[in-house]
Amino acid sequence: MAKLDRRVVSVWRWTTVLGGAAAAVVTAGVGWATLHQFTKLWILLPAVVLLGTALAAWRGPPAVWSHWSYELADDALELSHGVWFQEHSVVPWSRVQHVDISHGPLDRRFGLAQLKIHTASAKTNAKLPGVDAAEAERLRLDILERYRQTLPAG
Amino acid sequence: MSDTENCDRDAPGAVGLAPRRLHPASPFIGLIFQARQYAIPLVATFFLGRDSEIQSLIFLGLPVVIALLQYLGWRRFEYRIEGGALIVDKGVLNRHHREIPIDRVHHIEEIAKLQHRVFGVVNLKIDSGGGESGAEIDLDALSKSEAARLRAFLEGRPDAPGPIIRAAPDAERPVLSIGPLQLVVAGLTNVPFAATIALLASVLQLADEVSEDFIVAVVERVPLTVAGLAGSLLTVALVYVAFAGGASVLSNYGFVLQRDGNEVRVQKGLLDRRRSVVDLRKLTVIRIDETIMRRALRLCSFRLQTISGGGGPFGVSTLSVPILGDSEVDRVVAELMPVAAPLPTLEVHPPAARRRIYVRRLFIGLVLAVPIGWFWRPAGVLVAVLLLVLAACRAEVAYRALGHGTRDSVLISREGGLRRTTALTTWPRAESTRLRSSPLQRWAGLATLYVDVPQGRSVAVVDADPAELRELRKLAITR
Repeated sequence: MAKLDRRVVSVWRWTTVLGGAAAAVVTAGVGWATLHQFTKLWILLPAVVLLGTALAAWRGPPAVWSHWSYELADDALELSHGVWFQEHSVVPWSRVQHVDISHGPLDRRFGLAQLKIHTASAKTNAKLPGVDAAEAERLRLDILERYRQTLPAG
Repeated sequence: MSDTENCDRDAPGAVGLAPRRLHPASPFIGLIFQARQYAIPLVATFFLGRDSEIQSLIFLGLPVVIALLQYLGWRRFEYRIEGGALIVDKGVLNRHHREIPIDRVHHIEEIAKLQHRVFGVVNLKIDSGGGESGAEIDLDALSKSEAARLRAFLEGRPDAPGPIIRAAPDAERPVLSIGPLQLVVAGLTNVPFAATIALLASVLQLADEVSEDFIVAVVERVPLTVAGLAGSLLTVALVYVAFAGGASVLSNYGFVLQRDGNEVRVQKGLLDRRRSVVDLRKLTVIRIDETIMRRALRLCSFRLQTISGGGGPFGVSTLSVPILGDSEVDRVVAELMPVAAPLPTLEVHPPAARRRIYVRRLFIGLVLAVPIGWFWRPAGVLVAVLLLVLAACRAEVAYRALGHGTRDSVLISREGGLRRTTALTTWPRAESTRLRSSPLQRWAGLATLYVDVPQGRSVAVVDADPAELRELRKLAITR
């Protein structure tokens, strides 16, 4: 089984930090508006959010990364992920409808891409969230080639 | 120009239908629909704002504007069959062009609501499984002959146009017809236990809101005798029967399910008459539902899930069989999904699944029971004990509902509690599979397998042995 690019840990850390910072700002605003007249301890609310964010950014992404793996097997794409709720998805090559490659701002900053494989079912969960940008393009072509090989000859 | 002259059959294989408009009744039917939507605001405007000139202008002007838009919408709506595709051009301000290849059409539904029947027209809905929430092409309204002609084109028999359900079909085999009495039973047994409790609670709440004088006046009229009490209960029962049974009869009256080759045809409805055609090759899941009342009466109902994006909630097609005897299940399944019949005996899930369900249900029961028992003792203790017994009973029912099995290329999975559902799907319909496990499931040595099908809900095998589920899902790849 192949692992995701290790740089995705940095992307997830930044995502967690940015999200946590936004939550801390909102918490600070709400805490100040509702509690500052009664106590100065309202400052603890955003502090707790920031502490939780720091902890999540430190421990979360490496744990998620270590549980992520994928394999382009002979007859299907297999993905395995999840720390608490573990999921193992299998998408037969014959079911691939199309493959999307997307790059968010953080992905671009770290030279990564996200690869999503679509089938006729909206419930299919087949997304590789952090692969090298060049590798993503190679994977896309490889997946489509494997799909073509499942088609009847002629 | 007549309909026949409109048919262009010059080029072989390029049978077409010249551009044409909807029936002239279409704008009137649209107006009726709009009138329902705007009725309350218009009435409110009339009563509240008759002194204001602007509001009077709205009251008079809005219907004129809506009528004008309906007329223009009708004028700008054209459909045709050309190059093997059904093409629709529409839109007053924004123009829309839509093409659906005829060979992709797999669900045609003909609806005749009350307003359609007044004008002698029908509403034709056409789906190709494009993933939209409604029908991809909605032709509202067409004359009956035009609808039959169009359906014939879409069904690939342009030379033999005919009604969707012929009066005396030769090729079509009636699979099932349901009488009014059975439909009443369907309505009465479809009310879930929780909904009944909620209804009773609502009635009690309403009674609380009603003035005391009124209740006293009603009670005084009912003689305090056994006959009076029995009469009151009978009245309540009759109202219940009228609502539950009446709704079922209205929506399913004259239910007939027919099989014609690879197509299944359904017609039903008293006020709103519906006629559907579904390509059985596009059938993804059959769900067999049994409420607790139906299990006691050895009855069930069917829901058919197709590739079509249109239809009811959860992307599920509106096709359903409202009621069916247990003894007829295998026969109807044999018609709809032959490889699944007769249904095999399902495998029992491991004892760990029972423990997990008990833990979950009893935990929820405890969360409710402990505060009740503590704050309202001593009577609360009795209620708390009853709640825990009820939770344990529900856990046992939920465990006994669990089961799964395979037959050739078919996966069968059953789950639920008071309402039990057995889902049937074929492995060739599996787009992907997901094996999921929560920390508690892993601790108990269990997992859940989801088989994802095109459109709609996945089929789930809940709380089974992970090793067995891994073997099971290999079938999704190899089949």
